[in-house]
Amino acid sequence: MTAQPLERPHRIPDALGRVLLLGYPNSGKTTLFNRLCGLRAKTANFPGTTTAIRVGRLQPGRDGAPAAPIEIVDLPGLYDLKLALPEVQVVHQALSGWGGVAPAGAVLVVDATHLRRQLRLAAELQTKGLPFVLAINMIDLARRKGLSYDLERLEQELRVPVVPISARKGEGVAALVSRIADLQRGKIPVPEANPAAACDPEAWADQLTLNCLGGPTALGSASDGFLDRLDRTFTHPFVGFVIFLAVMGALFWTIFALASVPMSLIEATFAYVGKGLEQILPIGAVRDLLVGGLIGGLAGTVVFLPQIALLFFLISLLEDTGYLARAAFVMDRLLYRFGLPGNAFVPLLSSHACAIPGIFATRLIPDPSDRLTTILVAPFMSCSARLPVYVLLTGFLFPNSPLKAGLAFAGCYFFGAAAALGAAKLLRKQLLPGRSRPMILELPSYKWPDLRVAAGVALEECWSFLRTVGTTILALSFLIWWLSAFPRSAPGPEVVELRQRAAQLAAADANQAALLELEANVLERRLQQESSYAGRLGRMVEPVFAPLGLDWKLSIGVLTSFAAREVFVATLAVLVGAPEEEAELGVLERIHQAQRSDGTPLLTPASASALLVFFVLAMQCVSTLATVFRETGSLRWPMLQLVGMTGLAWSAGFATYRILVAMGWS
Amino acid sequence: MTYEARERLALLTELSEGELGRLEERTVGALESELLSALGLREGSEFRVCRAGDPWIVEVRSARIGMARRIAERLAVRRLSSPPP
Repeated sequence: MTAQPLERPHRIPDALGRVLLLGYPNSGKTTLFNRLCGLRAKTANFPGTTTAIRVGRLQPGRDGAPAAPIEIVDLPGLYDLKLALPEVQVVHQALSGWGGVAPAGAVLVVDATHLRRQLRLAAELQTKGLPFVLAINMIDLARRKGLSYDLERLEQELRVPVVPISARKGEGVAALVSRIADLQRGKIPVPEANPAAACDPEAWADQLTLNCLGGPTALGSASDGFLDRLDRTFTHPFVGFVIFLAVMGALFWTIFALASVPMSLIEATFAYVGKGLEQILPIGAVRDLLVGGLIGGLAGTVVFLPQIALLFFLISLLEDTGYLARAAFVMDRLLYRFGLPGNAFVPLLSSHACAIPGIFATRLIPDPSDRLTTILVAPFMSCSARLPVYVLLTGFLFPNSPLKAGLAFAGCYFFGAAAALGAAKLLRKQLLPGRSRPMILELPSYKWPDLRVAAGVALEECWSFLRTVGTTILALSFLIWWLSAFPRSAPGPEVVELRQRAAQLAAADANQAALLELEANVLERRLQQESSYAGRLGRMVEPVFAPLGLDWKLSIGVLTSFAAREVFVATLAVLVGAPEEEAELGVLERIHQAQRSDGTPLLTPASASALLVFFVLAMQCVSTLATVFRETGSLRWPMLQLVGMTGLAWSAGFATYRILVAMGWS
Repeated sequence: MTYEARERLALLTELSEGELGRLEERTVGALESELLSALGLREGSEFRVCRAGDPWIVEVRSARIGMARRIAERLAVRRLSSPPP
């Protein structure tokens, strides 16, 4: 997928001041950010998911906020300001004022149920000479656990305002907004550094907790037995792995099962609109452009929106439950054998949505060799841009068996993951020798996922996908249509002859005449495409892909998808066109039934399988290559990916085609 | 001096589930050491073993920390309670 997350912090020009949100991972910073700014930044339960600074604006005039917006910056979660980790460096940059703007203050977000541990950050922040407010988040959860707080005393001891909130429910957020406005107005003084806190933050936080919160909780509690059993089950070498496979299987099955109805509706709508336009508009280039280029291109991509929405929604739900951190340990045992660290699990899982955020997420892998290996193999994971191609081809291979199509679909994901592991092993042997670092990870509390947050994530990603559709894909669709429609050629003698015979028969046998007219139209369209620019270009590249059983149309599809994979189906949708007799068919069905120039089927089981294998393995995304270049600072690595992955994809596709042809599947 | 030679010290991997312990010494890399400290597991920290095996899971100051066996076997600890029956 070509959509990119907000990577570089941008400034809000009319903002009155900047306020930073910082705190431990999973303290609820991003949920609070969403609550304050109305933006849907990704919230996750896996430590350190917020890998880039996000900037939003506090709505002017809200809950006592000033008339102009205040810039709110959501910083990556961190445990200690003294750690030499990339996310800590980001926080230091923000505290010292990037872009020449010093922050007006900060909001330190702490989890009310882990206050004793997280208060140590307050000790560190006191030494930074910055006014701040302590927001005690998840106060509702703490209440349910029977924890009580002497907030006045905490305020006196810390010498900063303390606001209890529940970012998820909105409780106390109005009071916090008012305090943020005070920060902007300079009404909150810089707290004095406490020598005891600076000397030993843990001991100071323990004592503070003892003074204000009725003392630290003893190790172990009644609920721990149940949590221990859950953790033991989810991280068990065998049971944990079976659960992981079941969860992932259920995820993909749900995507396939639930998306089919809205996909059919979208297809039907586009077919209806296309047919309506054909009836309204006069025959000519404008009608062809709108029906073939616009409707055809849009239908070929928007149809996959339900599956993309479901994928992001379900992954967000899983992240939120706390399960993924446990799954990371299950995968650590496997990944270690292939030279990858356990921390690579989340970047690789994220790459199933899009390799670009997956590559950004590798910044949390501290070891350079571990990180580089993960970056290099991440594009093997099947991203959502491959999803349209998988749906098209598995649907063709198993038209009457959703179960087999679903298994083939899941098989593509497993095949991609297996290729990533194999490539990692090879890289660690040949180019990046050494063992991966052992994994250490905080396991977040289990909780019910927030449906609103997951829906927000899905909406954000869908919107991002639609923006891509509205720009890149639509532009390419128009280009492909133009290439396939021009130069216009006069109907050939065979077409003219057919039409003459149809005209002669019109009075005697209307049905036969209509059939001849139809035949003439199909032949005319085929000849037009063959002599078009697209036809000529396709024929130029056809020899490269012919060994995989692809004709010029499929070759053009593969060629255009090097810009972005999702363009493949849109390209084919435009190339196979929507003639009058097939206008009511959905785009996928039209591609399935399309023919080559010689009248043989466009797709055969052998060529469709070869194409599927090619798409699983090939490096076809310019945005990903650019990201790898930026993250590694070298052209060597993206070039290695492009040549290595595409070479492997071609070879594997060729082998697949030859084997299936030998088995009589052509 | 090796861990085995020290009286009453054990490796984390020798503790059973449910046992309480205190971290005495660690011989892990600098990065791992810093990360453990940030998560709250440093010399003198008391913990409870939630899961014995790969991964090892300990509870420290209300946080649960998971670690690969390769880390757990490099942490010298003192038992604070008898192994559960």
